[in-house]
Amino acid sequence: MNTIHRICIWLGLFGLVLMGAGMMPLMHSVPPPDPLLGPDAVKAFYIDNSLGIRIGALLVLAGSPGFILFYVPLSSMMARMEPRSWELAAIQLICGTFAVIPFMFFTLLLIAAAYRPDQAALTIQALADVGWLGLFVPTIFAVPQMFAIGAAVLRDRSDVPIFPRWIGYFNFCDAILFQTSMFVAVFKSGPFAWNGILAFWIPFTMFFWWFIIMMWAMLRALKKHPVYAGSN
Amino acid sequence: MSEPENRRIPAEAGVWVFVISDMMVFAIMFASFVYHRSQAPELYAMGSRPLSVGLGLLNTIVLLTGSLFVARGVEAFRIAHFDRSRRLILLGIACGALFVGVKCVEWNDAFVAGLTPLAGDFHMFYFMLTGIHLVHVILASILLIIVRNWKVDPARPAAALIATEAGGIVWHLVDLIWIVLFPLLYLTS
Repeated sequence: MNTIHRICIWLGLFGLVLMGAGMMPLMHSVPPPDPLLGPDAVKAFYIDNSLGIRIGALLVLAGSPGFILFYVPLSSMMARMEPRSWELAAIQLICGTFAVIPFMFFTLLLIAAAYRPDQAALTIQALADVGWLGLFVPTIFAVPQMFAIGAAVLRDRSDVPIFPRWIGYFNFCDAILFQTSMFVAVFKSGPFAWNGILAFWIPFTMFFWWFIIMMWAMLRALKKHPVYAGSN
Repeated sequence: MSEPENRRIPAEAGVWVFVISDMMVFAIMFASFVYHRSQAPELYAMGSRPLSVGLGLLNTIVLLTGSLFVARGVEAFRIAHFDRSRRLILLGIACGALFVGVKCVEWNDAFVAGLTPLAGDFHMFYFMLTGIHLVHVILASILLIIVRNWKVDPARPAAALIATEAGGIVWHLVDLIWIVLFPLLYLTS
């Protein structure tokens, strides 16, 4: 049980690293290109760096199953809390998985945008728009996921809880931070646009730290918690 | 407080971490608003003119009254006057509902006047900031409903007190954010 948990957690981190490598040096997409760019500038962005975008998108796609692997031991731990949080564990896993699915559409659409250099600029812009909107709008699925984790952690009343209680409150904070991302559908400039501070920088930086902190908490539980320590 | 010997943090430390993080997010939103307003002060002043200061002020009074009820309710819970506490917290929840109602009237007036989140930068901030705050009011009211129905478990008597105090703290947080939001948005012109 412990070995599978550990493999899943480390593969999750591997997925996160692949995504970072795809997004930053290859796709030049941190932050994403300005939504106000005209069709020609958008075409230049995707065609001048066509290979980088396609390889980068493949890395992002290859990394995304790592999140699902990461959520499985997390749900398994939630189901072992006292009282057993089966329902919350299911919400975590299912909503978490739904928040990963957009990466599939996002990468496919950006690969398509960069695929044909002779494609019309308006078509490339439309593909890229659907790609970016498709990445940001469904982040709302992370909200019930994180509320479920937070509720499960606070409900845990065993003598030695699996996660420290502050992890619960931390998840509530993250859930609230993620609410603003979906409004990229309404705005093209300012803090709520998809390159803005409240749609991109804060939610995605917080997601990175959420991942690292949850990873630390899970590895800590595997090492120290009586349910896991000793069994292998 | 009359118990200086065993001073403790109301509710528990995690609640305060949550409250401070949430306040930081709002601080970033306010800073972003102030920065963008400094780029085009006339435009923002013009945008805020159609806002009804009266409705904003009414909602300020509603939230502050709610805070008074909730604070008295938590106090009553501490001295084990549970029925009184439940009545006071119910009045707090009613203030939350009233706030939502007034906000609906205000938004409806804006929509009727053709002012949407796309009417300009001021209205983007206006609808997003008041909208996110409105979600907070609704969540805080739901939290108070949960707290009000919390059964005191004799095996863990502290749990109900922590929950009640946490509900009170979150309510005051929502109130405090509005106290900053109101002058920032409504009293700029």
